[in-house]
Amino acid sequence: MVVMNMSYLPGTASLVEEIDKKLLVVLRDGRTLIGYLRSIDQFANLVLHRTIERIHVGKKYGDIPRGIFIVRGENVVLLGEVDLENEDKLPLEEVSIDEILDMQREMQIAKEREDERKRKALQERGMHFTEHPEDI
Amino acid sequence: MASTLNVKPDSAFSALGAGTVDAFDNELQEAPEEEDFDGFNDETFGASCPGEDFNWEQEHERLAEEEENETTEFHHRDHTKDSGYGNAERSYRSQEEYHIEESISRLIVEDEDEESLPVRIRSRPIPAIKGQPHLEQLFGPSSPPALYDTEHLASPGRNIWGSPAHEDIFHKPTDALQKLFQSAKAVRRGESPVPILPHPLPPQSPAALPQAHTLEEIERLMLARGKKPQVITAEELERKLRGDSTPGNQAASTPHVVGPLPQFPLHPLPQLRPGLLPASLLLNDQRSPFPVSVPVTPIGHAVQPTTPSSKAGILPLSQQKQMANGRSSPIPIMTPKAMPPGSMLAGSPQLASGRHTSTPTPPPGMVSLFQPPPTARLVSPYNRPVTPVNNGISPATLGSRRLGLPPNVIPPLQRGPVPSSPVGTPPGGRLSAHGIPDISSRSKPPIGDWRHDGSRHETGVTLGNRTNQSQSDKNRAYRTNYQRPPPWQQHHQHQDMQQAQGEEDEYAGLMTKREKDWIIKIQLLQLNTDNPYLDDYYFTYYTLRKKMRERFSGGGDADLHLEPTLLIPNLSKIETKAYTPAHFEGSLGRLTTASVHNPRQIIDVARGSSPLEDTSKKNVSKELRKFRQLLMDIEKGYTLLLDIDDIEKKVLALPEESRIPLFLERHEKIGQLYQYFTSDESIEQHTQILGVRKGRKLLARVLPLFSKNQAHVALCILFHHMYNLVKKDVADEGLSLMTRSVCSALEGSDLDALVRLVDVLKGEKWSQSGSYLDPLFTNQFGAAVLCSLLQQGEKVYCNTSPVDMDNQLQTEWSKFVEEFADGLKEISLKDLAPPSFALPLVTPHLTRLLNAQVLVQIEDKVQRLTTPSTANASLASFAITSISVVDSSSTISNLTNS
Repeated sequence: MVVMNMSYLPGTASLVEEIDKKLLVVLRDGRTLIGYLRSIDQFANLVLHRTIERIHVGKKYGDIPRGIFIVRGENVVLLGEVDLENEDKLPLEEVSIDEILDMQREMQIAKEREDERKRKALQERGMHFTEHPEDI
Repeated sequence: MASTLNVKPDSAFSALGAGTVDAFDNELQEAPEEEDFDGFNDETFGASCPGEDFNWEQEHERLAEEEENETTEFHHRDHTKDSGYGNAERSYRSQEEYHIEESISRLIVEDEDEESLPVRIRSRPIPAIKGQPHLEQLFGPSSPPALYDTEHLASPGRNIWGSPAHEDIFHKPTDALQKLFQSAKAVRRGESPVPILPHPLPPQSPAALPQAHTLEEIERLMLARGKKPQVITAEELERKLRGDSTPGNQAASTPHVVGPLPQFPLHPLPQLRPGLLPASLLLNDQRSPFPVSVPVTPIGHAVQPTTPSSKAGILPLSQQKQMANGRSSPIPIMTPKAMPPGSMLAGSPQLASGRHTSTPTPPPGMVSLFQPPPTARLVSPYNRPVTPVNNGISPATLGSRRLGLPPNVIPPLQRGPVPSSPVGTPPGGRLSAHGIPDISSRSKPPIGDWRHDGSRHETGVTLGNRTNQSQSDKNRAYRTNYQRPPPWQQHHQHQDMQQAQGEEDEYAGLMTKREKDWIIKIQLLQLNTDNPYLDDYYFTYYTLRKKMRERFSGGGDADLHLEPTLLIPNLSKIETKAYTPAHFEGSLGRLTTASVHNPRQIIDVARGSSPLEDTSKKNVSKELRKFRQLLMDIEKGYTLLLDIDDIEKKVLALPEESRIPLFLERHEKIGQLYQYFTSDESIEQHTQILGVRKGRKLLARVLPLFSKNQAHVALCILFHHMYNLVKKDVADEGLSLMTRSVCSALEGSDLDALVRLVDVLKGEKWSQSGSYLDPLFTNQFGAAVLCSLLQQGEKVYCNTSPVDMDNQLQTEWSKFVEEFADGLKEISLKDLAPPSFALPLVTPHLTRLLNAQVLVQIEDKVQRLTTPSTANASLASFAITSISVVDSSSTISNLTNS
């Protein structure tokens, strides 16, 4: 995505360069999608093709095939082109969907516990926080 | 007969369905009950999807089932209609329309009969030679592509939306079909499809061969039997579908079905076969489409339901299809209607004929030979669906082959993927277009050839890549879609995809260049500005200063201090047209349209004097209110000034010839400013205005803009108030803001003007006893003004020959200079407030007009006055900047004057 020559199109038009390339898109809810960008519009709404949702947990990841994914532009946090040559050289281990989902669940539960623990600790010290920072 | 039209849609649908079925083969088998599928459909697409008539249809079907078990065929027919295209179409179709269609179809049949004669003669070998002309007549030579396009768009929709809720009835057939399918797949590239040809319904087939009257006969039969005879056919078909089909037959059929790719290959097959099966279908259609159509539709339905139910893996496929369909979905419905009835009708006969020819359909003898295969065909879900498909895809391939064209050339046919979509039906026209040419082009190849064609086709399709060449990107994309592994396999799809991509991205280019350009344009449009100072002030100035700094650090030249001017390309024509909302007679209010150029107004900012303001004012002291009013008045002056600034900036970017209107505008604005300063009212306010720093600055900025006369008047006014100003200007250095501009305004004055200015200065009642010059000497501004006067005087003396000078003026001027010297004499050196810039000509002028004695007395003081103090260095730099401003504006004014 980094345009070295600095001569890039303004706004979402810069996405035109990414069309039909394989992109990794991170959504606002934290999901990571990888797919081929097929179409865009001026709102940066995206149509991803052959999309997979990649879930990372630690050093492992799992891919859930999602097919065609239409993303409302405002939900895109970042996106970048996937280096097709080095795509397979990830220092990560791929596991099955079920596995990764389980791991994700575990991680979430652990995180919730941790958050709860922190919350209590803070509460004991007279501090309250109601929102998880990632929710903001 | 309604059948023709109805059937076509059905067949189209079925074709699509067949394709899908292939893909979902396994799923379907595994799939539970079809009702479940229906439920899914409802969930996914909403119960209302099928159309307005949906409920009615359902009920109708149920009733039919209950009451007329015997007449299953009839029901089947309904189903077929419902299943695919029918739903969409039906909503638009009324009973009356049906009648019309019937009558039309009859007419068509008659036509066909006539046509059929020649066709039959050639029939087997070169089927639809006749057909081609028809196509061309109907659509023109170039027409086919357009049709394809629409079909492309439309067809996918069928799949998605076409899945009817009526699948129940078809359970059995579907299953049977599926089994057949699978078996067929197993066999795959087995044998030539030739057997397929016989497809035509067994009963009908006999009649067809011998004579041109096949159609007529069929029709007659149809009419005579009413629907019952059809029932028989349907039953037969069903039977065959369920169990009768022999393995051998299947094997024969399989090759068609089985592409290299197990999943999607099916499409290719149907396409290949097209001619053959369709013929049977056509025949059926003419009579009553039911029998054939029935089996097909169910498949299509079955497929769709699977999608939703299927796991994640499957979803992608369905989604993809939806996507593809989504675009086109509206079109499919429209197409049939959109097409002129004539074209449709014409198309259908052609198709029929074409098929006859191509698929030696009915020729009885042939039929007998091929009969077994037909059954197989029927069994295979494709058959039905194939018809439409055939028209679209297979014929193309075949045709190309026959024509001797490379596969690539065939593009339309190859688009096959599209045809697979049921919608493609727009049937008559489309089918005829494809099918007919093929048929005609085809040179009586033996049946065996057909086979080969089919096999070839399959391979070709399988390869997929080869298709790229001639096809448009879109087509390619669609095809790939179909060719791609079924959803469940897509599990590891991405990997496969990558591989596929290594070769080529079949889906690339879904977004056309036009669409891309459109987006780019939209984005660029936002960057258009006719005034960067206004739209992007900070960036503009940041850039300007950066450039300045660069230049400064680069090499210190004299032009360092020249403020860079921004050249604004004249991107946007000055928008002269104001938006006027459209008015419609009898409408209340006004209708507004919003566009990029006329964005919808959210708020009308019109400021009326609100009572609140008044009340608030009352609370404020009268003095403060006055002051505020004064500031507001000054603000008006600034507004004008800013307008002029804008104009000047615009002017810089314009070519010489187009500057004139702007100059005129500027001139007008300056006139307004002049009025503002010199009107009677403002004269009264002058002291006030000039008493405020803001006001002085305004005058300082405005003076350079004025013409000589205007500036003179302004200076007179200024000098008129000089005393008060100087008196008030103690701590506030506001006056010094004006120094430079006033001094430069003095430049260019002739002696007459100078004398008059001096008079004004003198005329003021200087309360103090001493010379009116005293306070001026002690004020930096005053001293600067005096010195400037002298300097200008020297210039006048230098540039004018003594002969031309008015003696009286000279006398008065000399008097002033003497007074100046006297005043200077009396003031102490330390009280002098020397101007911040050098005035080299003052000394020569004094030398010129004063005697040496006086001159000696004031020499040191003059020295002090004319040499800028170091303490004022910063001020000097400011002066320099303002000079440059003056310069630039003076150049403009020069231009204006010229």
